[in-house]
Parts: sequence; structure tokens; C-alpha cells
Amino acid sequence: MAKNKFFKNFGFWFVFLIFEFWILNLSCFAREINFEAKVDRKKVSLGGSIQLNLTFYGTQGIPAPELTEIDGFQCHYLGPSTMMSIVNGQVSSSITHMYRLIPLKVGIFKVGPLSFEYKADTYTSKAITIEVIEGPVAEKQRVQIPDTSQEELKDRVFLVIEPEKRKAYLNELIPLTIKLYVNRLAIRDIQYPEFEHTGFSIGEFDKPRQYKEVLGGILYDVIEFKTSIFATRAGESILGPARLKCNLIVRKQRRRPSPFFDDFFGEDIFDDFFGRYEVYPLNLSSAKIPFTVLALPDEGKPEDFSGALGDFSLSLDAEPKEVKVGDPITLKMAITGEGNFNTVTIPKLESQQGFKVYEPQVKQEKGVKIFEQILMPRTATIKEIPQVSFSFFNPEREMYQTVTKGPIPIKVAKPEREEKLKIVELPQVTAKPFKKEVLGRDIIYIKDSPGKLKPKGRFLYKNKLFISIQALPLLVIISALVFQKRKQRLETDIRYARRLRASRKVKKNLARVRQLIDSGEPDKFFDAVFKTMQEYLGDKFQLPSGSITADVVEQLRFENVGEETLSKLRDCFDNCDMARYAQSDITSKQMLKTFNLLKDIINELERSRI
Amino acid sequence: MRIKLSFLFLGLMLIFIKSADCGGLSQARSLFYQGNTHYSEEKFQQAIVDYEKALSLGYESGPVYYNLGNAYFKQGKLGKAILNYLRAQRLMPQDADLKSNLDYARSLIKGGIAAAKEKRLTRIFFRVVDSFSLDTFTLLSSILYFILSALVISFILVKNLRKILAYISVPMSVLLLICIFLFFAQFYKTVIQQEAVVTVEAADAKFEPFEAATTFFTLNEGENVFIVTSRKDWVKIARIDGKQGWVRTKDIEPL
Repeated sequence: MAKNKFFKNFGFWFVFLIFEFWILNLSCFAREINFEAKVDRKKVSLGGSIQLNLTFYGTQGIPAPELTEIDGFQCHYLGPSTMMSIVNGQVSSSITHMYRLIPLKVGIFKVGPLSFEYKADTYTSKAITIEVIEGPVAEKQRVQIPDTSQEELKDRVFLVIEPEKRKAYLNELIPLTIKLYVNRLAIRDIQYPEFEHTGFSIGEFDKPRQYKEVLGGILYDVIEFKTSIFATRAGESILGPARLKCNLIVRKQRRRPSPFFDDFFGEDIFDDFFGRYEVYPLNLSSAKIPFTVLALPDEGKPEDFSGALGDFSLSLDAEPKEVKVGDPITLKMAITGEGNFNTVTIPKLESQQGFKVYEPQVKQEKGVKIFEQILMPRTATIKEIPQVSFSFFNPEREMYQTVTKGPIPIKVAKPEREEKLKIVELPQVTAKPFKKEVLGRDIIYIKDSPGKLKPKGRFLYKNKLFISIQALPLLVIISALVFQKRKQRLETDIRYARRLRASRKVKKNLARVRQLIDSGEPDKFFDAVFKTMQEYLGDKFQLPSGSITADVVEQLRFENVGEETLSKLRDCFDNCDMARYAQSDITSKQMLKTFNLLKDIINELERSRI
Repeated sequence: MRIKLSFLFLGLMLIFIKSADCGGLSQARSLFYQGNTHYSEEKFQQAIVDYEKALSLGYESGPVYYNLGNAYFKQGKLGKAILNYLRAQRLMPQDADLKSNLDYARSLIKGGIAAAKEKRLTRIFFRVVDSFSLDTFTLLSSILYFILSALVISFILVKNLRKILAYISVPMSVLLLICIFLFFAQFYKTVIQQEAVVTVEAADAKFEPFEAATTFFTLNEGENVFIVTSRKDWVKIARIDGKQGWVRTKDIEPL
């Protein structure tokens, strides 16, 4: 319950302000540099380690002190950490050099008093007693602010990221502000903020500014971190969230409640003064900012444009203006203005004819970039340094601009003596020229193997076997064409298909009929002969097989069948009819005769190609 | 029985013919190795004799001409060396050693070589033609012809794949045509066009085929020319730059 009332309690704030005032006058937030040595715990087990922090308040420029041997410990430097603190609206900076102490033996050891000298000042800390034990040390419970207090904290300490605009051109320099708002809280160990900046290039943060600001009717202490960014890719991007680490100082919860003082001051005033203050680490995070990055327009882009963005002006100067041939002239081109100086490249000299031009030297300061170029006139006919132009894109006007300066008139005199023009090279690190190696040349040695010896003048195209093989694909193509044509005819021409079938079928039927002669079954034999004739003639002459009888002979006369064949056909039909209906004794001789008759008919019809 | 004996006799005859054939081949091979031995002992003249003998047996190969060219080169006979390198080039056009030796030998031709007035495309075309032998073009054309025939057969028999087959057949036909064209170009160079190399130190190319005629230009040893026509002891040649003249037959040697 006491924690819930923490921020609302008047008594607490009264005591806290007095306490802060007292602290302020004591040491750590004073303007002069103060030094403090602290360890993260005072009891450590053998095999563990402790962190020793040497903090210099009021500066961030003191290098890491070299620690002499500390009895009972091995010491490793971990690195520096710069921080800021805001207490009661007062901002101070500090640097902490961190060391790891690894205990070497069991016992009670004293670290310090540590003493360092820097720029004629001596800084001394208090001694720290550390106990090294053999067994494990009970871990101190990590301090955490209850959830309810965290909710309240959100309104009293928060972080805001503010780019000057949310829509900008590629490479356009945009000022960015990250503000830490604090309302009546003691915050210390404020680290520099970090933020997500995928697709952006960021500069260094300026020295933080501190002021007061009223936001929603509440007065806040504000710490402002300023930097500038520029987008490196076009399209939609997200800036942030910005993150900042700091520590919140709150009074430690009292051990024994005192009802009397609680009633009067809200909380125990003596506990506030003589009790301890607890440090809560805070990780603040801002909202994300959507950002639109526009690509530079192609329209109106000057030829010499090399990506400079901003609003610039160009000044030009050349020294000396009266020279002899071969003497150097320094052409100073200064680009001033506002914008992304990273994108500013050397202005273009309209013509370099008649000059030897060296690599420029570049100096960049805030708001100005100076290019110093050495030009060396080669002839005395040169009367001026040609015009210099510089093109940039002005994001405010949303257009390309070109500024030109010059030409600068100069006087070039002939060299006093007619000696050869001697141009002095600027000292440059050049690679040692490669001495051209003289290589010997001769024929390459003979072949060891004779390779494939072949009769003279024998070529593959003359080889008969090779030529014959070439005919194969043609034959296969012709066969494929014939096959395909026949297949197609069989599918479409039923008459042709039946006729083909007739020839194949009749051979099988004849063999069957021949077998029946030997079996001595005249009925079956003549039936088979009759059916064979029916099927064959049906298929051959496109007639319905069932209706074929002896009468078919008259019909076949019109199909150009020979008279002799017709007569044999009639005889064959008669024989069949006689045998089937007259039922007389039939000898195998008669059957053989009929069979031969049938064979003759079929052979004749096959041969006649009807 | 008589038939069987006849077959046996025929078989033996075939074996005999074959072995006689192999005999020439193995002799040529052994002469080649003998030439190599002489060459390695720096007996270049003897090496030349061996290689020439091997070639006189009716067999040839790129390495034989290459080694013979080397031996002539060592003897200071630049024309003969280039002649044999060029002969070797027809059989092994992609051999790097040969190319290097030929280039080097040509670089030693006195007065340099007359430059051909060729356009870039023509130069590329001839480079492609020169990169492969006549047999390679024959074989390539044949392979492409077989593939194309297989595609045509499939086209006739398989109705469903006709569209795809047609798409594949078009580039294959183009390739085949290119290959046949290159074959004929190489055929022209190897069989029809008669190339020759100047084998004497200097050969005067005259306006007319007799001694007293005016000299048009002089050819240096190792320069290669094309034979246009011949007349008794004179040959009409064309230089690479197109200039034509009559030279003595003994001054040049055809490839």
C-alpha cells in the first residue's frame, strides 16, 4: 500500500527535495569533477566475479585509470560507459570505467582507497571492503518497480522521437530530436539514446540540451538530444523506436512503520533522511515514426549533378593569378549552405584543356566544404581559369539548381629559360612501376605420340559406310510416312480394311477346313467351307456375310470376276448344298476336291486384285 | 566342300590384305618414333628424313606434320616449316602448341605478311571455319541430321507432341544449315582451294609467266599463297591481299 502512495505523498516530496539539495551540495552533481569507486556487490564466492565501477562525475573525457595490483583479485578492464543524470532539473554528465575483479583467494580484502592523477588533479576514492567466501553467495533479489507504479511512471518519464519532417528526399539532411521528458522524478545514469534506423544514415548526437517545457498543462524537465539523419533508400520506412537507458532513484521501502509520522508527514521523515535510496533501471522506448523517402526526380536533372542535396552557394578563388608556365595555381572552391554535405562532390571545371589537374584536397567544416585543386598551366596562351559549375537538388524548392562561378582571368608568362616544361608531381604514394619482363620465344617441342594416323586424303565424307548410314534416316522417314498413311486409311476406309482382313482370315479358315477332311466329318467340313466362302466374299466385296448364297455368283459377275472363277464358285456352292441337304455318302475324296476348288477360287480372287 | 574351301581362301586373303595394311601403318608409326629420337638428339636432318618417310607410306596425322615442321624450323627452313604447320593445322586445328609455333614461325617471315583486307565479320567467320577440321564439320552435320530426322519421324508418328517437336525442329534445322554451310566452306578451303607456301628465300611474282617479265612483287619464304592456275613451269598465284602474279613452280609447294 505504501508503494501505491509513493508518488502522491506530499511528505515524501518534501523530504526528497531537501535530500536532493543536500546531495547536490555534497558531491556527485557538483560542477567540479568528482570521483567515486563502487562495486556491484560486496560479497563474492571464489570462482565468481564482481564489477568495479570508477565513475567520474562532471566530465566524460577522463581516460581509463590504470589499476595497480589489487590484493586478492585479478583485474580486467571492461570498457567505458558515458552517462547523464537529471536530478531536480540539473543535468550532469559522467563517465564510468568498468573493471572485472576475479577473486583469487578466500578472505576479507580492501580495495582502495584508489587514487589517480589526471591533468594535475588527484582523484581519490574511499576504500571498499569485499568478502570472498568459498561457498555460493545468496543472490540479492533484483529490484523491480511494481506494475502499478510503472503505469504511473509512463506519464512522468517518457521518450519522444521527432524528425523535423516525415517526408523527405533521398539524401536530404533531416534534423532529428529525441526528447526525454521528466516530471518531478530523480533520474540518473542517462545514456545516449539509440534508435532503429534501417534505411537511414545517422550523424553523431550534439551535446544534449536541457530546458523546461509545458506539455498538456504539466511542466517537464526535458533533455534534448539532437542529430541529423538522411535516408539512403527511397520508399516507405519506419524510424524508431528510440530507446534510452537510465536509472530512477526512489526511496527504499521503510522497515518499521511509524503511525505518528505517517499521519503527519505521510511517511517516516527520519527514514527518508537516514534510510537508503534504491536505484531502479529504466528502459524507455518511444513510438515509431512512419517516414516517406522520395526519390529524386529525373526531370531537369543537370548533366553534372552528382547527388548533392540542400541549398548551397559556391565561391571561387584562385591564387596566385600571375604565374609562369608549370607553376601551380590553387583553385579554392567553397560550397556553403545547408544540406547534406556528405553528398557534395567537387564542382565541375568546364574545361581542363591547357592545364594539368591534380587530385583535390577536401576540407569539411560545419556549413562549408572546401575543395582546393592545384592547376598547372601547360602553355602561356592560357588567359583564364574556366568557369566552374556545381549542381544540386534543392528539396525546399523541389528543383535542381546549378550555380556557376568564373571564369577567373589569370596571366601566364613563358618560363624564363627555354627549358622543357617540367611538371613537379605532388608527393603521392605510387606503386613501383612493374619492370617489363623480357620473355624468351621459340617453338614448342615436338609431340610424343603420332596421334591417329590415317591414309592421306581420306575424309569422312568420302567413306562409303558413312554415306550409306546417312540414307538410313531417309528410309525410316519414308517408312514412317507409309505406315502413317496406311494406318490412316485403315481407320477411314472400311472397304480397304475389310479386304485386308479377308486375305488374312481366309488363310486361317483354309487351314481349319483342311483339318476337317482328315477328321472325317463331312457335315462340319461343308459347313466350314460354306462359312469360309461367306466370310471371304463378304469381306472382299463388301457384302453382308449372312446373305451370301449361290445367288451371289450373278452379283459377282458385275465385279469383274472371271467366268472360270464364277463357275468354280457355283460348283463349290452346289457341292456344299448337296452335301448339307442331300445327305448322301460323302467320301473324303469329294471333300478334298471341294477343298481344292475353294483354294483355287481364293487364289484366283487374291491374284486378280479386284 | 568346294564352297567351304573358297570361303577359307577368301578369308585368308582378307587377313593378308589387312596385315599388309597394318604393316604400313606400324612402319609409319615406328618411323615417327625414330624421327622423335633423332630430333631429341638434335639430329634434325635425320628426323626430317624419318618423318618424310613416314608420310611417304601414305599415312598422315597432325603430330607427324607438326614434328616435321619443327625439324624444318630447326634446320632454318622457314618455308617448309610453315608448310608443314599448315598441313598439321588442317588435321588438328585446335592444337595450342601448333598455333603458337605457326605464329612464331610466321613472325620470322622477312618483311612480314601482306595483310588481308577482311571485314570483321569475315574474319570471325574464317576463324570459326579454321577452328574445326573438315571431318569435324562432317560429323557434326551428320549428328544434327540424325537428330533432326528423329524429330521428323516423331512428328509423323506422335500426333500429341507435334507442336513441341515443331518448335525444337526449327532451331535444329537452322543449326544443321549453319553446320552444312561451314562444312562447305571448309571443304572449299581444304579440297578445292589450292593453298601453297613459298619455300625459297624470295620468289618473284611476275606479270607474265616467263623469266624476262617484269616483277610485280616479291614473296618471302614462308608466305602462303593460293594457286589460281598453272602453265608449264609457272604457277599463277594470288597473295592474301588479292594481288596476283606468276611464280616458278619450284618456288612454292602446295599444301
